[in-house]
Order: sequence, then C-alpha cells, then structure tokens
Amino acid sequence: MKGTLNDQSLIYRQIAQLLEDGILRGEYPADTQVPSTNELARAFNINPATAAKGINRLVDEGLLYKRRGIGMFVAPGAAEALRQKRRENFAKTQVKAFVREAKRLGLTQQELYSLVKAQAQEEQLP
Amino acid sequence: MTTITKAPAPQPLQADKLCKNYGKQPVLQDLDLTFEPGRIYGLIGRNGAGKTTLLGILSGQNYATGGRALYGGQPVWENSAVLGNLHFAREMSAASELAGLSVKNFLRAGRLFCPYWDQNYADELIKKFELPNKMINRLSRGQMSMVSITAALASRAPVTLLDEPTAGLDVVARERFYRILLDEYQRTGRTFVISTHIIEEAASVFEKVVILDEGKEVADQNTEDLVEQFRYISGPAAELDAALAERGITPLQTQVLGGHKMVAVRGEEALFEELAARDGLTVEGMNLQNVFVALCGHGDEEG
Amino acid sequence: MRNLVRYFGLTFLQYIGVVMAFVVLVVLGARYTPLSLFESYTYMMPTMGLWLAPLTLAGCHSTMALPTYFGVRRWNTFLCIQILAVVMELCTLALAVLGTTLIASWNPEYDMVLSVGGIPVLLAASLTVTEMALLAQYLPRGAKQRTASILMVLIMIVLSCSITIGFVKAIGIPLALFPIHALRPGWAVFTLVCAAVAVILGVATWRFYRKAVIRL
Repeated sequence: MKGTLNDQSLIYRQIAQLLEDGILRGEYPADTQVPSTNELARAFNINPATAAKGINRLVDEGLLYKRRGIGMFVAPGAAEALRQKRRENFAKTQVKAFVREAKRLGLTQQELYSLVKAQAQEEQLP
Repeated sequence: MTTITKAPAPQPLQADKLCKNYGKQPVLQDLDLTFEPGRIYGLIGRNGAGKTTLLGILSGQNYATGGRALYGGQPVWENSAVLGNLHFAREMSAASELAGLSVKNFLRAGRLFCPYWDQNYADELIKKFELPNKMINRLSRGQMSMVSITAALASRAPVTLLDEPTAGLDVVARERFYRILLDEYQRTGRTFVISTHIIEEAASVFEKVVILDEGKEVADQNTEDLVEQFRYISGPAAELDAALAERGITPLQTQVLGGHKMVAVRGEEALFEELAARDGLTVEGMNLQNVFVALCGHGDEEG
Repeated sequence: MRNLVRYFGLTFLQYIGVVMAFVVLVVLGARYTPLSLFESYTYMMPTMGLWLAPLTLAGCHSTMALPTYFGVRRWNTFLCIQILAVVMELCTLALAVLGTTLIASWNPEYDMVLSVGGIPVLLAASLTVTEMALLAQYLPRGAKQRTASILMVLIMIVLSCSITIGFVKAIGIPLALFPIHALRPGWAVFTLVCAAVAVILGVATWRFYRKAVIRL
C-alpha cells in the first residue's frame, strides 16, 4: 500500500497533504475523526513517528484537534481555512510556475490570458 | 514452565569513543553515537564503512580496540545484566559456524538463552515465513535471512540490531518484513537499528538515520530533517557556478551535461528559496538515497 | 548459568547414554560369552573417554558459538564447557572402572583392570585432547586446519593404541604399561605433563574464544 506515497517529497508532508485533500473533498467533515497515527502507519508501511509528524502539522495549523484517549478530529471551519491556504499557495507556486513556463515558451500576456480563458470556459468556471 | 517475562523498556545504546582495528586497519575511528530508546534507526554506509563491526561491538558480539559500548550507562562487554537486553541478528551464510544447525535447534537455543523469548511469536513467524525445518546451510539465502529475522523478533529484546536483514529477500518478502517489523514496533516500542543497502525502500520505516563513512559518523538525525537539508540545483553551468560562488557554497556532487550542470547542495530552507527565485535555476528535492550518495560518494564527478 | 546446564545437559545425556550402553553390552558379553570374543572391546573401555568425549564436544559445531550468539556471557559458557568435559570424562572413567572390575571378577586372567588410581592419568590425557578440540574451533583459519589435522591424528593414534594393546595382550606379551596408576613414576610424569598441556591449551582456547567474532 506504499504505492500511493512517492519519494518526491517528504513522507510526513504527503501524509499531511493526504488528510488535507480528504478534508477538502468532504471525506472528513467537521468534528469527525481522521485516521490515527497507527492506522496511517500500518496502511502505508511507514514509521508511526512520521505519520504523527504529518498529523501534528495539521494540528499546529489548527485544522485538527485532539480528544484525549479517542483520537484526532477535524476542527470546525477547517475546510474553509484549507481552501484559503491553498488559494494563497496556488498564487505563490502554481501560478508563478505557470507564468514562468509561459515566459519560457515566449507567450505574450494576451496569448496567456486567452489560453486561460479558453480552459476556464471549458471547465465551466462560474 | 514457560513463563514469558515481559521485556523492560529499552534504554539508550551508546558508542563511547569507539575504535576498532583489524590488525593495522582502522575500521571504526573514535565513534560517538547514541541510539535513543524506542526508535527505529536506519544505519547506512558503503561496504566496509564499519556498519557490521559497529553493530557487533554494540551487542557484545565483537570487542572494541578502544572506547566502549554502553547500554543504559553500563558497559556491554561480558556483562550478563545487559546482554539479555540486546540482540544482534547477523547475516547468516552457509559458512557460518551456526549453519550446521537445524532451524528448530537454532530457535530452541534462542528460547533457552533469551530472557524475553516469545515462542508463540516465533511459531507465528515460522508459519508466516514458511520456514522448513532444514539445516541452515541447506536453506536459500532468503530463508536464512528469515531465520535470522525470526530469532531477532522473537527474542523480544528491548534493543534489536539487524544487519542487512533483507539480504536475499525478494521485493514481496521485503515488504512483508517491513510490515511485520512495524507491527512489532507499534506493539512493543522496541528499539530497532537496521543496516541496509536498500535505502530508499526502507527510508520510510526509519525515524532516524545514522550514516557511517569510513568508520566515522557523517549524519545522525531524524530522516526527514536530514533529507530536508539537501537539494539538487540545476541550470546553465555559468549561471549555476556564479550563484554558488556568490554564496560560497561547495557542491557535494556535480553532474555536467553539455552546458547544463546539476549539483547536490546542502543548506537551509532560506538558501534554497533564494536559489529557486533565480530565473535560470531549478531546485529539486532529494530522497535519502540521493543524500547518501551525495555524502558518501566523495564528489564523484560525472560528465 | 542454568540454561547453559540445560543446553549442555542434552549433549551430556546423549553421551553418557552411549557410554553406558557400550559398557553394559561389553560387561554382559564378557559374563555370558567366552572372554576372547569381547576382549578387544573390553580393552577399549579404559581409553574410550580419550577420544569419544572430545569428539562429542567438538562435534556440535556451534557448542560455544550458539550461546554467545544469544547473549550469554562468554566466561560462563567457557566455564560450563570445561566443567562438562571433566564431568563427562569422570563418569566415563567411573563406568570403566566398574566395568573392568566386574569383568576381572568373572575372568581372573583379565588384568587390564582400570583402578581408581588410574583415573587421574586418563582424565589428564582426555582433557588434553578435549582442549585441543575446543582450541581448534577458535584458531584463525590456517592454524585451524593444522590443529584439526593434528587432532585427528592424535585420536587415531589413541584408538589404534587401545586396540593394539589389547591385541598384544592377547598374544601374551607382558606390557609394563599396566596397571595404569597415577602413582607409578612413568604414569605420574605423563599425568603431570598432560595436565600442564591441558591447562595451557585451555588458557589459549579462552583467549581466542574471548576475542572471537562469531563468523559469518
């Protein structure tokens, strides 16, 4: 089951990413429990300490809270907070890389906008 | 008659200024290391770096030329109080002194001598590994590894050292081993120190990693923290060289392809962000195997 | 220590079982059949421990390596095996004394009786061979082969001697070797020399074993 993890980025980050994706997709609504450290470790054949690090990252960002003796739960408003965080990240990394690539390809701003618009229309962005 | 004595919690295992020479040849030089209790360590290094020797000395299977091995502050060598807490699973070969035994007799000795031996667990593992009761020197290499692993796990020793446990195991068997190891770790919190050549596969199992190079310790920290300090930087040779010179960085590894160059660099997050901001340069992460080669490849230049 | 005793106990029991069976068979044979048939075997009784005990101990390849692998203190293992060697030999000799005395009581012409006084002599000789066998396990490769071959030769000499003596006896040539007794000057010297050699070899074995790395 390690197959879903890769060696392109640190494992604990991938674990954090995985849980974040789950929260965003609505798999883990507010105040529901997320998989425990041990469950994650067992599922991905990784060291529980690494899994814990991933979970703690979300705790530090206020996305998860701990209920003693029971486990980790999604904080209310986590999905919204995540969306916000990812939007900021989107601008900083993906947009930047996207525009740079366009620059490398020698596109003008106008050409770039038309490409984006075409795709946005196809995806039916409101 | 068989009462399973519950194993005590593991204690720190320490190499204290450890030196080892084989004749005139120094294999370990002034090694200072502590293996913290309750963690899974990876011990990696090139052939001849001293991994097996280190593990042997730490478990009392080998003696130090200088310095000492300590467990919970007590010397390990010839110390009955301490030896029961340690187990060293060696790579077995048909030439080993123990190879004339049958699997059953070998494990029976384990049951006799290991204070925390769990026979039920041993039986479970024998079944899981499908080990026949043959002479050890008649087994395949993979089966020999599995016998060694079985004894190591069933010993329930608070600190267990494994030397290349996955030698001779195919991928499926290796995955099975990691799973079994992690299960046991989650159950008991034993300390495991595992030396391996199959680095990337095992990296996610190791909480901490110790890298040995020519008998000296080159790294001893949390796996992911270590990997975080390294990046591959690539770009046009001129620009790359300029950027590196500007910040006074010496690359660990260099690869040249035409006018394009790629280097392995160690540094801080801030540095990498700076470098990534530069237009012509690409900054990529490295995995543990890459880091190891960069640290111990001694600047092999390619291209 | 207790687990070492259990570990070696099995070897000991197997060994003493074989020895007892042999002695019983020979004694019964000597009782109920004409002596001549069993003669050569009876002559083997006193010297049996000289080669059987060391062979048994050296025969389990992993005698001392196995406990060491599983974390038993080397000194304890070494001590235990030394005690085992002495005990094995004493038991063998005791049985030999018993056996030969019994046979002599039924066959007055049988004079290769092992007396209690002969025990120290054979004990010392046996320990010498045993220590050599143990040492052979822990010498570095090259020396190992040589010692192993010397050992083999020694054992064969002992074996053939025991049978030869019997043979010579059978022909009726008197040999001043018998009775073997520690207080007879020739045998006394022999005993002391053997004991000294055994001790030296034992110390050497300890020194090599202590620093040995259980080989891969």
